[in-house]
Amino acid sequence: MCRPKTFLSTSTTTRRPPFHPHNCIPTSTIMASSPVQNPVKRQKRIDFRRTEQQEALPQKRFYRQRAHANPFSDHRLDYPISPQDMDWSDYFPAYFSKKRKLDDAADSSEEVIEVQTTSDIKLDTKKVEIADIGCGFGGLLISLAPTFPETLILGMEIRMQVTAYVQDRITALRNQCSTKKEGQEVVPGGYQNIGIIRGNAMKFLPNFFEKHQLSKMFFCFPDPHFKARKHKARIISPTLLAEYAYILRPGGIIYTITDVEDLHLWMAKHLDDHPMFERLPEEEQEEDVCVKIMRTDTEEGKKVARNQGSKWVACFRRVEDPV
Amino acid sequence: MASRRHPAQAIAFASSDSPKLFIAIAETVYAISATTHETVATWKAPPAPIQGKPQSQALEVVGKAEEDGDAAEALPTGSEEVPATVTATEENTESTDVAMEDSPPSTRNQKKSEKRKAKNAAKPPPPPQPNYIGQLVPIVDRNLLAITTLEDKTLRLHNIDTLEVVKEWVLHKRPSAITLTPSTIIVGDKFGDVFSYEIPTSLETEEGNEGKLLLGHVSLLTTVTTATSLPPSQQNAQNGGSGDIKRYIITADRDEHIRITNYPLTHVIHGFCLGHTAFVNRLLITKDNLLVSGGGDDWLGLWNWKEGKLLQKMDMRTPVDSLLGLEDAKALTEKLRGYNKKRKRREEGEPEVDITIAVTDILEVDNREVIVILEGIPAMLRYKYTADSKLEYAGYIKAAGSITSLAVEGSRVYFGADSEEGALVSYADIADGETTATDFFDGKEFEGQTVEAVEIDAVNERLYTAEAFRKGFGGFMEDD
Repeated sequence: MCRPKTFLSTSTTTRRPPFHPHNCIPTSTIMASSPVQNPVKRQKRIDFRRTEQQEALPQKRFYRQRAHANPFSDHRLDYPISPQDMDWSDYFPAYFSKKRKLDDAADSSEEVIEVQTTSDIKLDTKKVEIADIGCGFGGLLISLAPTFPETLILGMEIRMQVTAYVQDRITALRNQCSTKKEGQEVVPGGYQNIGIIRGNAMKFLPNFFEKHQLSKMFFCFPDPHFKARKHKARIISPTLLAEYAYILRPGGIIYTITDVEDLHLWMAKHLDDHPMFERLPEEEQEEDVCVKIMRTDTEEGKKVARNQGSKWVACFRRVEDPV
Repeated sequence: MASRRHPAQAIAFASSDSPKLFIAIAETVYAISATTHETVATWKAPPAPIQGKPQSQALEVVGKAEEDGDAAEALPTGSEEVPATVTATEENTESTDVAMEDSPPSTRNQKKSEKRKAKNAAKPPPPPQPNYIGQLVPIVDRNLLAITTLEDKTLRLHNIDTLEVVKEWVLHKRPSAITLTPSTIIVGDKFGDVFSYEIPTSLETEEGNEGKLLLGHVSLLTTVTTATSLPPSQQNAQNGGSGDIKRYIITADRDEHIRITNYPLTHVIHGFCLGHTAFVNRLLITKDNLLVSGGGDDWLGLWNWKEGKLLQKMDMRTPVDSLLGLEDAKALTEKLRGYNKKRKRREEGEPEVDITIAVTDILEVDNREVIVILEGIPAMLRYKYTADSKLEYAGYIKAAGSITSLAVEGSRVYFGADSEEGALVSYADIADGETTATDFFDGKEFEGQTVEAVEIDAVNERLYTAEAFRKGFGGFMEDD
């Protein structure tokens, strides 16, 4: 916690964190603790979140964090022991009732907490079906929400600040929808069907999802991990694909997009080689509404478009289990 | 502190024509006749080569290894995390300084690399790490003994009588788990991957027999075992033969997972057994084809692994607490803290008694009970099968010191203990209802090895590694 003074004096500017070529344990430790060392920035952030959270959309500049996190190290994460233990009501309050804690169950059995059941949605009947792994600032989630208004969509992101941004963004959008104004367009689903969790998807997906629970998984502009010795840190790897196949139902689809050709080739190769996945035919891929959204509406996708870079898409269907 | 005796970190029993007990002490494996208790063969692991690069660059390599050391490799012991943070802090300030001077990128890089070089040069070369023996697995029907060594990350097959090396594979990462199938050796590593190596049918004509990647966790893999859809006892009764029997590999990791994977179709995951809240370190398939799991939780789990259902939690905390009187417990707490330098970090108001529970081995004895050993605990816990296929605590067998290794032969349990006065290796016969152990060597000469006083801490850190799997061990966690 004792940071040298030089950092303090430079970090009040909006300069990016110093580039660190090695893996991310060290710098992100510092980044995460920087609010402590940086009272000005911290206060701004708190003020902003307090005063303007209601309906105004959050601003990214208050949620900046370095672009990478080390998936192998221990983060302080909240994850359920198993999918049955997961309390989804914090993330989808319109769709789930609060899970009563076992200790309280005896004395307050009648006091089931009613959460915003004004809509005609039946509680606890749905499960998350779409996951956006490494959802970043949430562009894809927000575009998918009205496209699949009946489907629960979960974003997972390992970086804390970024998660907080998406959470605030969803809250603001939900609030905008619930206090309808004249002439405002009705958004199907009212953004009640999207949620964001901070987590390490490479380690803990089986803690959140049961066998065959998901119908779609998105991997949009994942960290390329260029060095060969870091390839195990890539989100698509031969060994992780077995886990994705486990939580995807037969017929479910993995969507990948990247602006790094090498990574595209790597992901496509490993998905091609994996017996549980088959590539979607080109036509089917191009007709898929999700592919369009993925190309145009992700934050990274927009950035790549601004820089006139290429985007590489590959989609794969999860085949039936072998007998 | 004076020098002390090095305990046996692994033992294994092979009931071949001439039954033997194999004892691993530091870098050496001793083959000892079970009948005469005389040493019939020994094998010492060769020193591990300095990783990757030629000797002349050793200095540079060392510096590098510390800075961008493998994340997953660094994690298990956690030993590199803290230094890594320090390095980064230095470097950050360094680069901010340079950036403020607004120098062109080329000189900036140059300056950086110069500084780095200077820093590396100042570091003394690390002492060579001894090439400790990891696991011992006899393959009795092939007259072989599989041995892993940790520092050179190698799996070797030895002649079971002479301990001569007959085959070796250099592994990808440090091995942490090993098991056998009828034709392969399955090895899990600290990077979370599991490879299979074919046991050669003919030792003369062996070439290009590479390891095959079966599956992987993104977490330190702690143990691997195999299972079949029907227990072995029922397999013969089936008319259909082995055709209908499904095979599985069961793996466990530091992130509380137990995973059931089809074998040989390892791309198909059968399911998970989720319920542990700390690392899982050991698995055992029982005679009733149930799974027993243990690790950093206060309880052992009994699972219907096919359905991922936790059937029973067997408490270990009460038995462990009842083992020791207050003074013994205080002494043991001190001892446990001494096992790793990170545990020694004192905080105000640390309790006088704080016995950590970390399962280091689980074995079944003679189809009647399950025995468990825990890191640092000078006794093994016994759990007997009840009529309804559950387990209940049934007392303990006391040892002279921390039990460091365990092997079973029939109804007899062999174990190594870390003590100065007591036996190095002892045994007890469960069938005879023994609750005290007998010295295996019982007067027979066995030299063993001694540890110099200055080496004691380093040896402890190599021997007592399980508790360090606990998250936040040593007080370090990324972020927040």
